[in-house]
Amino acid sequence: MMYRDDSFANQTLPAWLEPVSTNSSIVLSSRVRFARNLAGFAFPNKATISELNEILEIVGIAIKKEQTMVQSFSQTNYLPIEQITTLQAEFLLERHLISPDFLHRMRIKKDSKPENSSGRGVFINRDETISIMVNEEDHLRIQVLSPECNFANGFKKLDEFDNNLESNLRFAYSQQYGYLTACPSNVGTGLRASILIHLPGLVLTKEIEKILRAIWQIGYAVRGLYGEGTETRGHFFQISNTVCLGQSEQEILEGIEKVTSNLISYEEKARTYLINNTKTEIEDKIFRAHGVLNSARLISNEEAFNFLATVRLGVAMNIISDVSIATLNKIMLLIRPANLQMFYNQEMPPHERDEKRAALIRELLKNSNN
Amino acid sequence: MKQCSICQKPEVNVVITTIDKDGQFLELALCKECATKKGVGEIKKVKLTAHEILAELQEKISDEDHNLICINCGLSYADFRSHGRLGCEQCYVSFALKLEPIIKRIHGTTNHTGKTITNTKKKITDRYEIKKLRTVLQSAITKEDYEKAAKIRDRIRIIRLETKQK
Repeated sequence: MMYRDDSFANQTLPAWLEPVSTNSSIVLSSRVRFARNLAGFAFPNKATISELNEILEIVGIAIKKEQTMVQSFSQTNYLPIEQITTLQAEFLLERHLISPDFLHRMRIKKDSKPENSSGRGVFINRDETISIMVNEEDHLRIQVLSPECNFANGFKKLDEFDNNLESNLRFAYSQQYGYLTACPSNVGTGLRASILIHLPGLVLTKEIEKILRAIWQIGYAVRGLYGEGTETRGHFFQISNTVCLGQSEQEILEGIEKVTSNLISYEEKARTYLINNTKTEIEDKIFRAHGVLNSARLISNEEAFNFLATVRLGVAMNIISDVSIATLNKIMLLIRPANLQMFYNQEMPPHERDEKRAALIRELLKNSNN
Repeated sequence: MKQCSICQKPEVNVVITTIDKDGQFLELALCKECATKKGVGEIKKVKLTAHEILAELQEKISDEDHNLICINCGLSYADFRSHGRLGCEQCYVSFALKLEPIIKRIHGTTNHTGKTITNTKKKITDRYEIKKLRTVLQSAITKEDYEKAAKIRDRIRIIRLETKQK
């Protein structure tokens, strides 16, 4: 397992950013993940460093063993956490390839406690649709990211992967509880399915709270941009299942698909309401956002993200036509602090980032005009 | 510590959301007494998230919890209550009686359905596990730790029973 300098293709973009259909403005991406543990080993929080390293090695071998795995992972990046800089780890978090918890373990490494970070690593395929975190909360967290709401394809990929790994690994499993996990909230299928959904219409019509509450009451979690414990931004919300036990994988996926299609129809209704009742106000908001993005010389990540999200709404509502949803998705990722620094291949203090960010946004918006 | 919105007592039993006359959402945290008075005693089955259910466990950890230890990884039940994370797959057996109601609260059930690992593989796992447990059992007997030995023997019985049921 080697670490390569070109592991971070800093100017390439993940495949899940590219919308499949043109009107895919509401759901940005969908994610499915399995939590798995190896039988016979303590879970990561109770394992020793040497056990963690052993687990990492076993998983690495399993990934290389299977023919299908070798194919899809022929250009895999393997990143042992010890060798990732904080900036690179933040970059991975911003691209949804590692969790905030993994990043946290990465950060405490800096406080010279090697036992907190050793024996952990992440496998990522070239188009960034598959990532396997080793020794986060569970031994394995296997995730597949897809553009839009596409659980069928994403899950097929994940399931195949899991089957391949299972033919080489012994997973902790019980007759009663299914796949055993460090936290009882993941036990059973170990499947978490989530969508990243853009709901500005519901926010502007002030319907959002009521709807999110209803979603929560029927057993789905609403979270921020990077999952548990993170804030929402630009009216993007992450919705995921909370029950993993007693429902089959298929039932879990059907459930979240149903919630998603309901949310889409509510959001569409809200957008229609806005255009019919507050046309000038909504146009004003969108054109102002567009104006700032086209003119600003200094812009923070948060401000830029919010304005880009507003312009994204404008494109979806046919108010703005000179930029595509795909371009906006791309800009929204590239301007995040670590992504921006990786894009320019240099570490920058916040003020300099704000300047570069403003310039990059102007440039990318201008290019999309042509 | 949260307070009751009515009597200010530092005890919250129920959190309800109502809509006031301006159409705004209003959150009320009530103690048991005030909730009953308000006639919302029945709604005490407020849906909690897994996170909240696990957070509740952090309160009132007893000596008994400290003494209940997983024979495989050494995690105490008190450790689990403080951090919400189990130490190994055997913890599900070691703390079986205590975990079952928690799992039921989180998922609404205690029985897995869906993808399973293949039977042959399960048997290999069991055989491996029994072999491993026998070694631990032997050393417990040698050390005259009969309490531990009894626990391991029970565990072996459970695995055998599970295998037969298939």
